Amino acid sequence: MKSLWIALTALLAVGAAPEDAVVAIKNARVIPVNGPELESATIIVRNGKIDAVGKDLEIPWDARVIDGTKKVVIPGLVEAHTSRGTDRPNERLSSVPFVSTFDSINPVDQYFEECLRQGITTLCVMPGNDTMIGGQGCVVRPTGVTTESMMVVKNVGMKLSLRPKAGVSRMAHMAALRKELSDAAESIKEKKGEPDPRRESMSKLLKGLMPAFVYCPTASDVHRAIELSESHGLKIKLVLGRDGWKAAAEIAKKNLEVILDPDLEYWETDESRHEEVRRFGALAPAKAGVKFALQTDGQAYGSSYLWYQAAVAVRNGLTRAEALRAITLAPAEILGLGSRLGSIEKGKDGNLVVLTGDPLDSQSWVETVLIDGKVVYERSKDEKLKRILEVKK
Amino acid sequence: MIAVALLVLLAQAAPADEEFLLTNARIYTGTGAVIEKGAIQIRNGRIVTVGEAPETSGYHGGRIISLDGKTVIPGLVLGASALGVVGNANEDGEEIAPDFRVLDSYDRSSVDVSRARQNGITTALIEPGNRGVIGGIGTVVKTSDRGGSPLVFEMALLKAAMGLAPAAGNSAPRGTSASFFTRRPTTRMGVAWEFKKAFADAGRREKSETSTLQKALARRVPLRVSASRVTDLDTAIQLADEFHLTLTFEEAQEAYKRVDVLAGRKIPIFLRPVAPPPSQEPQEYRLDTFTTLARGGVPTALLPATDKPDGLLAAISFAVRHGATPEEALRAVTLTPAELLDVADRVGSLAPKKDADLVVLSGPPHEITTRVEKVMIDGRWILGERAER
Repeated sequence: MKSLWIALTALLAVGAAPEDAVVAIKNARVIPVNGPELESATIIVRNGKIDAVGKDLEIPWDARVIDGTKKVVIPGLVEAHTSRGTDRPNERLSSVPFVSTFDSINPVDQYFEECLRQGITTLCVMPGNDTMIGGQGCVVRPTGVTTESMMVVKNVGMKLSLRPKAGVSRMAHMAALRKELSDAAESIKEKKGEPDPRRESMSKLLKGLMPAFVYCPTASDVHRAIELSESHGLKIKLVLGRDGWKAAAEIAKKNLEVILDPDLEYWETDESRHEEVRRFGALAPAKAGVKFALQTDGQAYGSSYLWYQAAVAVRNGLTRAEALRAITLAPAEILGLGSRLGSIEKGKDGNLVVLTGDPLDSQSWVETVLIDGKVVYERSKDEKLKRILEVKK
Repeated sequence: MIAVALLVLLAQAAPADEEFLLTNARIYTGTGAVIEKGAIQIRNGRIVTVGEAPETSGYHGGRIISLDGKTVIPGLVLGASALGVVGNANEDGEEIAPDFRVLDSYDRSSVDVSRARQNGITTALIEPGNRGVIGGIGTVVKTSDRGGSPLVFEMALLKAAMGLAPAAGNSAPRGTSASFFTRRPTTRMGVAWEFKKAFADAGRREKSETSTLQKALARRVPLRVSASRVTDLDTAIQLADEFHLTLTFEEAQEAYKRVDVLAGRKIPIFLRPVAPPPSQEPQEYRLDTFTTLARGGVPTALLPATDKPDGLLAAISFAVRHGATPEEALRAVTLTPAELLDVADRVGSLAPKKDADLVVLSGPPHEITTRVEKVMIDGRWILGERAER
């Protein structure tokens, strides 16, 4: 009888405040990313925004309370660059500035469900690395039944790739890319004032109103990207290949923001010793003071998780703070959303992840995810996870 | 818990270059025991004693190397691989090749062997690929590229494969060139039939010491079957019963569906703990397969999640994430595979008389933040500590 009463009250409460206008996470260890960690702290989210963070805060009477005892709260993770969640990331034509992943994102793709399970609350879905001018990417949240309802920023940037297609030399690829950009600039100048949706994105790119996310498969492509940006007036951000760290000094000098390759650890052959040498992509950018984000791998076990990538970064010498920033605040800033996302501070979006333990611990699980102050994932209600993970004692 | 004897070292006296002492280490012996402040005495490439760290002031046996509180685990044992198999690991011209020796394709100086040992893999089972119905003889080797022969156990197993891997892509034989695409079988039933015919023929033939199939029929060499889906596990069990073969499985992502059968017959599993790529046949993948098998009484070793030599340590992390204890998970990549491959007299745990194969880590083996710092094979550093390059 008592439990029925509780259930009824709960139902009424849900009916009365379906939006959870106020949510309070109490007594948790909070990692705000932009400041020191707080023990047994409270976070209050009001109308989708973080209203207060601190110790000994009074919990509003109408708040939905989430007990954070022995839990850890981090900002929602931000994936700065991915092509998952779309049907086909690369257009076969080499120059398609007018397309957008907006038309390609599949809201019911399992990938988005998995994002919540791993604590990712914001992701930038970009065209792949195989098309010279690949089209525009969108920043989305992994919830919603339509692409429109997932949108955070439509057409946040243009994807360019410096990787030549098979059988094409680098010089031919660069010549073609320069010609595309010059021709577009000419055509925009000539037909000034005439509206043409096919030209709109190119016009924004060339005026520096929309950044280019330039994929640089090798370190030597970095200076080509810089040259391209200077000769055509592009605002660029770099998506690096795994040895991109070798250009860290050049990147730092130009104050460019980068997204590192998912293969953070990789091997190179030292020819003189005929021995394989382990390389690591995040240390040089960190030391050079470059702003960098980590991204995940679509294929390999483990590295398809952002928290895993951060743990790998720590294994290779990054500090915890640097590694956590690279999956939260840094990617948010690179996407131009640093004032809204990526850290736990007053006024930012209520994107929070409650973990069972430290974010870099392999045994921590995402317990609850909030996006814009709404609970969008609870492990206790994750039927799929429960079905495939029932550990026998 | 295993009682740990205090080291008695003072009486030991051996040439300095042949004996040394690793001390001040947190030692996971591989059997479940953890020595918080331990030492390992090594002589001529073998372990002499493992125990609590002694006062070293009176030790004159040899060089003393302090590991500064770092973690030491046994060298990892990779239970299924084509590591260092240069060129094609599959004999595409022949679906039944029981007498082929993978050792003849092994190159210990190849890049993947180098990467494997730097990731802490000191012993590996190398075997033919899974595109042949019966692929050949798998062998246990050390991953060192220096010193004497890397061979540990040559006739470790006879490799076979079930399901579509040895069949898919084949078409009816035509023309003159023999290749994977122009030979039998082309179906699951064809694979089973080829398997059956090979053993039936071998049983009828005159006894020969050189016939691997006859050795398998006499249970002198175990059969290793690569199979992922439960239907293929069933087929293999049925065929093994028919010919009284000793059976082991690898891949086996759906093995949890037959845990009682596998446990009842003690059929060992080398589990690949990862969902197959979407391009392959769908399987019912679970995250708890390792614990279901291991705690259900099936002898289970873990494989890395990919064919890459990296990732056996990650397999420990994810096994623990998915419910195993750190000790269970570590055992599944050290002592368990060593036992299942019948090489536990030499490798798989840190114990007296065993080979001095070990890995020095920056932290607990099941944490992703942990780094491989040093690796030793047969008492020689191959990574870190003035590695002998």
